[in-house]
Amino acid sequence: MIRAIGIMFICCAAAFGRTPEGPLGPLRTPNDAQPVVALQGGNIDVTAVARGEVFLVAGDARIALEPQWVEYPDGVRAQCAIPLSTAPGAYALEWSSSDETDVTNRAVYVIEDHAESYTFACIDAVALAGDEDSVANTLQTVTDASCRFAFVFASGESAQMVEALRALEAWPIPTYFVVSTAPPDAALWYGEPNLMFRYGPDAYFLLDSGKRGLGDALGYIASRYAQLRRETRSARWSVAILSNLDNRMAMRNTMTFFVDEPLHAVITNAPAAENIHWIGWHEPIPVHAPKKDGVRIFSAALKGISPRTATRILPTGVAR
Amino acid sequence: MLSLAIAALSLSSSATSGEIAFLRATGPDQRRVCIVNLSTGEVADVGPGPWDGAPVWSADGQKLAFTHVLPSGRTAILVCNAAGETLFTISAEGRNCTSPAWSPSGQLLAYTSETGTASRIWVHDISKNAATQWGTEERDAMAPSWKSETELVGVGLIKEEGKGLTTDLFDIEPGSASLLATTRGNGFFVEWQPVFQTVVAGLAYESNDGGDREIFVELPRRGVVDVSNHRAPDWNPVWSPDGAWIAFESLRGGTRGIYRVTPQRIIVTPIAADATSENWAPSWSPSGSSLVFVSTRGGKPALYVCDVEGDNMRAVTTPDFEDLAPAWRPETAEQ
Repeated sequence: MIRAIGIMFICCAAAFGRTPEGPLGPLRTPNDAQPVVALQGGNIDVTAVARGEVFLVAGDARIALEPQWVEYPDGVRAQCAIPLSTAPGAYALEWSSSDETDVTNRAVYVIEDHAESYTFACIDAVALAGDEDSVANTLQTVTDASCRFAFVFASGESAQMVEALRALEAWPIPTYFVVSTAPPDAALWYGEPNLMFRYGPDAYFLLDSGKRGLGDALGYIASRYAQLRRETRSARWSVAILSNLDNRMAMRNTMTFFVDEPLHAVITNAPAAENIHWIGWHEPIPVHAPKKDGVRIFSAALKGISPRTATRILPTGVAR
Repeated sequence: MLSLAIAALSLSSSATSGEIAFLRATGPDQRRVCIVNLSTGEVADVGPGPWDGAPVWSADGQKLAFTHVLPSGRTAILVCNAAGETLFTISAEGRNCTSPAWSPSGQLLAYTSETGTASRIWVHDISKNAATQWGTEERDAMAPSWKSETELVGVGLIKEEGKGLTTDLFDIEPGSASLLATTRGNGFFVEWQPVFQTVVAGLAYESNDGGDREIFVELPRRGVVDVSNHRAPDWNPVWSPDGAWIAFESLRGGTRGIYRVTPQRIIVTPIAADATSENWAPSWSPSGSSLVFVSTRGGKPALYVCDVEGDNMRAVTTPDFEDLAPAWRPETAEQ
């Protein structure tokens, strides 16, 4: 683990990895707002605006992947196998066409094995917007808890996105952005929505980090969620991560997650989540993510998904 | 209001006449109601955009109702004619008006009026230009569908201490909301999307009775029957104009596909379902011989038409945009 974190730090001290203003370049996902954790020998999905060569890059290491590109409405996508010999750690993803190269930093995290019991963090982006001490203190809180990954709850405003991403440049763990209000150009910031990811035996549904916000009752995301939820029936714990519990969720998704295939836990950053009542008798109890401008650590173990006391990161950088 | 754009189409002439209202993406999360003429391929803007909702035709094909988000952020219902001229707007201070449903005569428009914590069904009388609340003040209700000019069926919320919320179907009239006796469990299961068919007096709805989401149908002298019965979710029942078929969506093929079932004989047949694309939001042609639906088979979601057997599939709009929520215009008196 220590070795892995060391490699991660070396890699992540590199450049920002986006266009100077913050939006993504031709390589869309994975990226530093929607990273991917893969086992050695596992697979990752890559999306880009066009076909190209793809490499994992960390320090002097440059590992060629073998994408089999297929067209999709917004570009091309490919599933890439991570070579078994790939060292654990954080990698930038490099994409090269005949006349252009693009890199997304902190995009791929290769691990030897998933842990059965682990911790993760939920961070309010405001905690990353203070002085250097605030950011360092946030990282210290996360590091002290040995978190495997973190969710960053952001407003979706471009300025906040850039600030938070810069603050996270040297972080050793993957950070998933959860946005309360997707900006009109969300696809440029986040790429194709990452609706769900597995971590070991557990499934995490990201219900509002996509370009279509929470709901999309009219389009096809509702059926994607239904399919993904069915595919993860055997997950030990199924967890929804979302900014707001409100009617933007759309009734079709409510049916999927709270009636037909009930989730085990809901983690939200909504201030009044306790006042929201959900249709369905298998109603999971929503848990606040962090308090405003703070951090909350969660444990995932055999007994469940358990929140710990939230830590507020003051503007002075003092945690209490 | 009316601007025309020619869609690049290749339509065969049979069963492709008429008009289809739909939603076209005008920007990220922004949509406008449009109408495509199946004979010419012309697409006309009808709604003001950029936050229009799914269009619903009146039975005579003269009026189109759809939700529209106002600058205040509240959702109103706009009613316009096929030329895009706004006839009237339904809005209420502090409330969102959604789920418009025309009565058989087209003189009454039911809708859901909700505040975020409470939801009621209201009915707008066009001749009086006035709206009244139906159901009771005690019962949250939503998603209305007309049984006759004097009676609605809707989804009502059931709150039981210690058990959270669930739903069931209710007969809704002015001043009363009575639990539909034929749904099983008295609120134990979660019912949704009731659709009444006046020709056969049949009610189709979704329920998780049986473990997963299924299409149930209640017919006179038949009782309630699970007509979709599959371990994959089935949802969004849409009656054919003569009541002989119900089109619905299902994940039984691995992707979202459109199927049809005879409510009498319970035989399920695929209409538009394949492993490589998503197909949803079916709407029947006035004759019941064809359907329009949304499909990703060409890339972005676009409108496709096929006959009831699923044959003669053809694109109605090109996948250059993102077209959703088609509603085939009923035949008008002129037609």
